[in-house]
Formats: sequence, structure tokens, C-alpha cells
Amino acid sequence: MSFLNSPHRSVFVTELGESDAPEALAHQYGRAVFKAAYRVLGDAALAEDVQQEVFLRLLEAPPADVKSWPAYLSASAVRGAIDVLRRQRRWWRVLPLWSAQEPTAAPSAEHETIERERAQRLRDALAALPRREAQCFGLRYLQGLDIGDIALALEMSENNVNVTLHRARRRLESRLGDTAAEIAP
Amino acid sequence: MNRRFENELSDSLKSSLRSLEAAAHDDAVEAAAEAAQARLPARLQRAQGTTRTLSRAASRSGWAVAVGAMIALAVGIVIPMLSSGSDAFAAAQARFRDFKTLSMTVTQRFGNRATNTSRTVVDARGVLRTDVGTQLSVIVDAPRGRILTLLHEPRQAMIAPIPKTAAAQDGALPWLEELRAFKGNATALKETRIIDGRTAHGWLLQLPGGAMTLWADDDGLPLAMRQQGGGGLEIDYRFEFDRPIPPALLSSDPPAGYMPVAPDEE
Repeated sequence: MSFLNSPHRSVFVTELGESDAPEALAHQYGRAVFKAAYRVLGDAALAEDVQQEVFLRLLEAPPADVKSWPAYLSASAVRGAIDVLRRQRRWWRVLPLWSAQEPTAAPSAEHETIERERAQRLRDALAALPRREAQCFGLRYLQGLDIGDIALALEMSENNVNVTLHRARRRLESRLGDTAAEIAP
Repeated sequence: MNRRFENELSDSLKSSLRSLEAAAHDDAVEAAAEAAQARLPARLQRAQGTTRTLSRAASRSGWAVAVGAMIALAVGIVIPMLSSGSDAFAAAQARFRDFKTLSMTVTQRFGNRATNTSRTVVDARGVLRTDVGTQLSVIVDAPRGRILTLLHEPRQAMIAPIPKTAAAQDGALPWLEELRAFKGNATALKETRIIDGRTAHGWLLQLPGGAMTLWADDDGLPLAMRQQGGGGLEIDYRFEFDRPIPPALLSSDPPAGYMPVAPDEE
């Protein structure tokens, strides 16, 4: 059933107002959604795909009760971007023919700064995390969401979010620690 | 990065996150965010158009019409997907062999940093025009064996013969010829992307010039491509087929108001 034809739409519009229609939300938060996805992906074309997907989903399946649109949309962007990051990693891994040309594993070009390498290594490490850990980490440290908001966005208990974040930090520290010496200025 | 939670992180994680945040704030990213934002309303409108059609059908004629429209839509979506991946790729490949015009935006990146964006259009005769910013246009007119270079600010036009070296003759779009002639295996990707508001299916293929990923919609219309170069170079293409192009734009005759200048001597 489509958004415009669904019973949810009237609830959506009545409770939240026309300014919360997907077009208005896209106008207001489109850039923020793009940037949230870009932080995770480091790729403008993929970030734009995620941005479109976030707002197209609002058209197709509007959420019934959203208390904070910025939090909801940034959570959607980070979740979508994490999924793309993980899929990318999976594909490059199963296609050894092209693995030599994997963008994330390409040798450092002259144009790349140490900062960029460091950022890319974090993206690689994020892609290797279990999905939930990557999502929790992205929402907490890239988007700055409180534990309660992360729990709400991911439908987890607050306690579970804390445990998942702890595991994510430990795993990332371990992975980044292995490479820190290589890129230290 | 929201620094209010920085104290929860080790120093190495903190510096990695700061690097990631810094990379997201350069001018190229800001420009990409603006461009994406500018394209977003049209894509939502297109998607909503489909939804509205179904909605109107339901309100006028009840569920039977709506269900019929749904089935038609589903058939339109599913049947191409049921065909084999190679058929779908062949349809995309065929589009590159048979077009009136092919317009594309080409963005080069080093390590995810956009370094150069240009607009290119090629027609069925093989005449190719590239606009780099607002200052420079180059028209490679293979049928007439010449290149017209236009410098827009001083309004100067320079005509030179196409060099006879093989690289220069087919150097305009070598990947296009390689893609047209490609007979190897294109590996279908499992994931889909949303490009220009349409669901896009992807294939990975290895061409003589390097690996590339091609994305096309359910009808096999190519939408985007990424070419992997050496040393971290990536080239992204966004395609538009058969967009009407004024003939003057693809002419290697100098436009009115441009002063002819002699080509530089080597």
C-alpha cells in the first residue's frame, strides 16, 4: 500500500502537520542526511544514494510516531550507510580478481593525506564490525545521539546499547591499534 | 563527530574519528552535498508520481483497478528481474551501442576527493564534446578529423587536426568501445542502489582499461558507472541517453563571435 493511499498518511499529516511531509523534510534535513552518510562512507555518490533511499522510504512507509525528525533521519542515514559499507566490503572480499583494485585498500596516493588514510582505516574497521556494533558506534560518535535515542532508533534496550558500544570500542581499538604505528606522523 | 562523548574513547580512536570528521568537511564534500540536495526534490517528485497514480486508481474505481495497477507495476518490475543477469546486462550493453546522444557527468576522484568534474556528450556519429567548467570546451569531430578547442572567456577558437597516433584517435572514450565489444562475464551484484530515484542493478566487469562497475535500471538503461584507475584514481559517470542536443553544440565549426587562433606549435 502506498504512502498516499495508506491510513498512516492521515495520521502522519494530522499529527505532524504538512511541514513534516517527506518533501519538506528533504528540504530541511537533506544535507544533514547526506553528510551523516558521507561520514560513514567517505564517498559522495554512495552518500547520495543513501540520502535518496532515506527519503524514498519515508514516502513508501512513513513511520507512525516520530518524536525527533533530526534524530530519526540521522539514524536512518547511519544505518543505511553502515549497510552499504558492509556490503561493499563483502563484495570486494569475495571477488579476489578485483581485490587488488579495491578502493579502500588502494595504496596511498600522493594526494592522500595521513588524515584521509586514518579516516579510511576507521571506515574499514567499521565495515568489519558486527552490524549492530557498527550502527551503535556510528550513532553515538558520528551523530552524537544519547544512549536512549540509540536504543529507540535500533529497538534495543539501553543496557544492550551500552554493552554493544563497549564491544565496538574494544574491537575498533584493537583493529586500529594494529595499524596506528604505520600511519603515525 | 559530537565531541561530548569523546571522553569515552581512547586516544587512537579519538584521532581516527577526528580525521573522519575533517574529511567530511572539505569544499568538495560541501559541493557534493549541495548538488545532491538540488537533485533530491525531483527524485522524490518522480517517486511520488508513481504512488499518486496508484492512489488515484484506487479512489476512482476501487480495489480492482488499484490491484490491477499494482500487478502491472509488479510485472513491469519483476519480469526484467526474472530474466537472467546476462540478459539484463546485454540490454544495458545494447544501449551503449545504439543511442542518438549520450550525455554524462564525469567526476574524477583521488582517495574519495573529487578533483575534476566535466560534462561530456557524444552522438551516434562519434562527435564528442567535453565542457570543463565554464571556461573550456573541446569538440573532437572524428568524422571530419579535427578538434575544436573553445576558450570561452577570451572567446577564442582553435582548430587542429586529430593526431594520428592510435591513442589520440580513440582516446576520447576508450571505455565506450571496450564496453560495446565486451564479451566476458559481467558479475551481477546482489545489492541495488537508488540512482535518480530509480532502482539500479549493478555489474562488475573487467575491461582492458581496468575494472568497472556499471549500474542500470530495471529496463537496462545505464545510469551510472565507476571506473577504477591506478593509484587510487576513480572516475564516476552519470549517464543520460538521447537527451536532445542542439546541433551547434556538436559542431567543430567555430561559433559566431569566437576569434580563430592558430594551434600551438609543438
